[in-house]
Amino acid sequence: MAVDDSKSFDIWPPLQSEDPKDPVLEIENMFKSFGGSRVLSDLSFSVGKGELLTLLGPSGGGKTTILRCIAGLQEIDSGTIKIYDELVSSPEILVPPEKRGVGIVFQNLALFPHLTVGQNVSFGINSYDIELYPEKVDDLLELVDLSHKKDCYPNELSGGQKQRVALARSLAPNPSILLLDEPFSSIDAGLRIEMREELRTILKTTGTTTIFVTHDQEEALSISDRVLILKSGRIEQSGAPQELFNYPRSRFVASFLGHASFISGFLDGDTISTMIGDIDRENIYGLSKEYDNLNMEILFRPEDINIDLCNPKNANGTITYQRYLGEKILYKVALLNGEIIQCSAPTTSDIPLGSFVCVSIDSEGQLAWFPPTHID
Amino acid sequence: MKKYPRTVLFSIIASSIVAGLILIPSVWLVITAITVPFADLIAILSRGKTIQILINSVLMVSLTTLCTILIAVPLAFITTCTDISYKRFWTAMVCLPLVIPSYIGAFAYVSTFGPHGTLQKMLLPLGVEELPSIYGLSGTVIVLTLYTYPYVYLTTRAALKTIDPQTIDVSRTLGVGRWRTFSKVIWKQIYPAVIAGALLVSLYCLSDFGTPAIMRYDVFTRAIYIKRFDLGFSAILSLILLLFAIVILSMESRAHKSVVNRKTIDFKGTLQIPLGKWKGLSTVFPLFVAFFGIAIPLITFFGWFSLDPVYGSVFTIPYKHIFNSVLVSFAAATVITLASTPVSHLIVRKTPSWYGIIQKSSYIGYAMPGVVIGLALIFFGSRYLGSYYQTLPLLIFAYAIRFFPLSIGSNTTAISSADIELVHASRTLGVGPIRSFLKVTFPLVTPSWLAGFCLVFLTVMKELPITLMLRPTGFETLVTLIWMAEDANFYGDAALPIVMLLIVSGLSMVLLLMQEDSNGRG
Repeated sequence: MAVDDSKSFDIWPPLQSEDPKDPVLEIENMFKSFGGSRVLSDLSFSVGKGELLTLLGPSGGGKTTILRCIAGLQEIDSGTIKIYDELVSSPEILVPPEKRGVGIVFQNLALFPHLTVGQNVSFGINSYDIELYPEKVDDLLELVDLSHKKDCYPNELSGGQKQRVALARSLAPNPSILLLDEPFSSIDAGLRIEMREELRTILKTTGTTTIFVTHDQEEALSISDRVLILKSGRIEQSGAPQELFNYPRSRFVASFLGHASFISGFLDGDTISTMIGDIDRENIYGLSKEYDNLNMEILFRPEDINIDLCNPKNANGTITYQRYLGEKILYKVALLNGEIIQCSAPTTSDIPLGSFVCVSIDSEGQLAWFPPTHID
Repeated sequence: MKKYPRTVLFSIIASSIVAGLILIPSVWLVITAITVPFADLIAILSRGKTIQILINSVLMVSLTTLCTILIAVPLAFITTCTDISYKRFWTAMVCLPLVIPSYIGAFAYVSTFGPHGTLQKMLLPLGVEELPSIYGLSGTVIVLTLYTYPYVYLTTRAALKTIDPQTIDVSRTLGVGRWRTFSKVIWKQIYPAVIAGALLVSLYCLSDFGTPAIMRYDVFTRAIYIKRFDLGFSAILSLILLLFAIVILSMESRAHKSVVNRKTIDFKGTLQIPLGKWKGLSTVFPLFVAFFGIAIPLITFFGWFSLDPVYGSVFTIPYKHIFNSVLVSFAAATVITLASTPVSHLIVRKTPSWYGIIQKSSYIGYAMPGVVIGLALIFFGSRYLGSYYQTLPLLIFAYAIRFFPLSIGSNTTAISSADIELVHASRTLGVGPIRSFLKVTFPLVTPSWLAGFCLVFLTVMKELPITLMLRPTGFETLVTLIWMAEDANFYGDAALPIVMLLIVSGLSMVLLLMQEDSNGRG
């Protein structure tokens, strides 16, 4: 019998992540369908003041729809959205986007092509505010390091510069909450890492409450205070980046956040025996008494595994795949029982395809476990 | 002098000769106009008639331009940026008036709404003896508006399609409401395109001869035609007209540049605004415009087929006129296409500096209204080309001046589609130069070259003022037949030629749109 892989299971003690105390945005039981197909399903979460929350999930998971609902660009089917305790969206109520104080940066940035950088940034600042604070546009441009481009038109800017204009423009009216929809997608990979460090600094300096949407797990883990993993319009798991990475509650989360291998093991007394060696019971997270004498699968990250070339007689696996990743090489090893495990080794290792290897466990922290996918 | 390949050198020489020939009559006309004795000049300029013509022309052009904007911009918005039903149908319908040459539209309007027209006859039993006059400013503006608004419609529509729908969303989230978003984001983005289209309309109205002539409204073109044998007067009017045209053209090219410059960031989709409860009502406007632009003339023309034979012979096929039209258009298209090929070659090869002057001067036909070309050649021909005056070569020469720019457009597309690299590739694959030309260049060039030829052919066929002014005595074409039928109220005679010209005109529009399509892709 196959176990539904998509559901997380509550075999573990609760994790420490809880709803933020001082919420700017609260979403409760939100549903949204388009033409009969459900995009968002019973979604509830909140964002605390000054927090940087990331919605992470595969493309087409409803992330952009969530942002459009929060901005008031889309009505919702049921549930509520509140900003600072004020109801802004429900099936009956739709406060228009211009009355919400929600800023948004779209994937393609959507700069006004007919306005200069300075005019783009000042677009959302009303004349009263300009009188009170005439240097506002200049200060924002300085914040994003674009003072010298004030009179340029968007088509004269590079991808990174456009991105910063869009950010400055959305920050200009001091939004209660800022929504960023994959803002780095149009920027080349090298610049992207630099840009996201800069973005985090800017958002933390201004104390802006932010929801950031991405499908790039590395981006999500490196930038966020808290990550919310979405799959098919539902929340799979939420928590601090490290917590999610180390203690995923489902195979989906585990696989989505990085290379993951699931190796079967058997718990007997204080050890779990697997094809690649035994593990002490205390090195597995959340194994209580009642799981004794049970088959289970252990999650290994490539970093948890060691491989060495060795005599075919002693070997417990063969290399079936290798991929050069730059600073290291990712291998896939077929174990004797047919299971595949992924591991990494320094580029100097260079083990040829088809080599016999000895695979062993080399892990410092606790490992996560899952019930087996197939129960015999 | 820099060394050019032999082919380019040939093109430079050939196009210099062509450009020179094209320029001579216009230069001569300008010289004639500015050498009119000063006292005569003052007398002509201060004549009441001259001032009246000036005022009339300005009124007609500005009112028509304003009306086309008022019609075309909402139409473009409704048929592009909303969820109106049968969108493609309405888009096609509101573009269709382009197919009707405005003088034919004017003919239909006069025969329907004019004195003793169809409408008045229908209303006579009800005791209506006289209708408000269709002649004059109002009729001219109505007809010109109905048949030129598609220029504004098309440029506006193209601009609306370049608006990133998300800029509207961004504007809203920045605290700007629905209506202010319309003016700050949408209007500001389409405005240069609207102006560019409106300037095209202005130029068209200014140089149009048929419509104001049929509407008996005295503007530059009509006055030049009527006074075509009073050289001093008509030359000065022509010069003023030319100046106006050049001003409009230079404004247009500036507006066009700013339209092109704005194209920036890539995005997907077109702005879609749900009409909600207005959905049904919103089709009324395109329906209304299509009714007056398309339905009224078509009903009128097909009505003529059932007319009393007193009004002319409906079903007599005018073989002689068809033959003459085809003959002269074919000859003109051949001459123009051949002559414009070296110029297009230079444009594609981007030969620099002063050769640009050759290109610019061959574009003079854009600015020169047909009557001005006609006038220049009447006098230039009668004075210096005695034996050629009122002969077919002179008529074809006049067509060449007028439609040269049209041909350059399609020839340039043709030549640039035969990339020299492709020939090089063919040569390196072991195919000789002649077979490379036959196997690579020729098949690539032929389609657009042929399309260009057909476009010129069809466009010449419907040209009115040049044909009227320069045709040899007794040489009648479809256009002159229609013109005379209008003059004599012989509607029956005109019915069949008009239907033929509408088909010709429709085909030329299809070619023009195809050409623009392929340019857009390039």
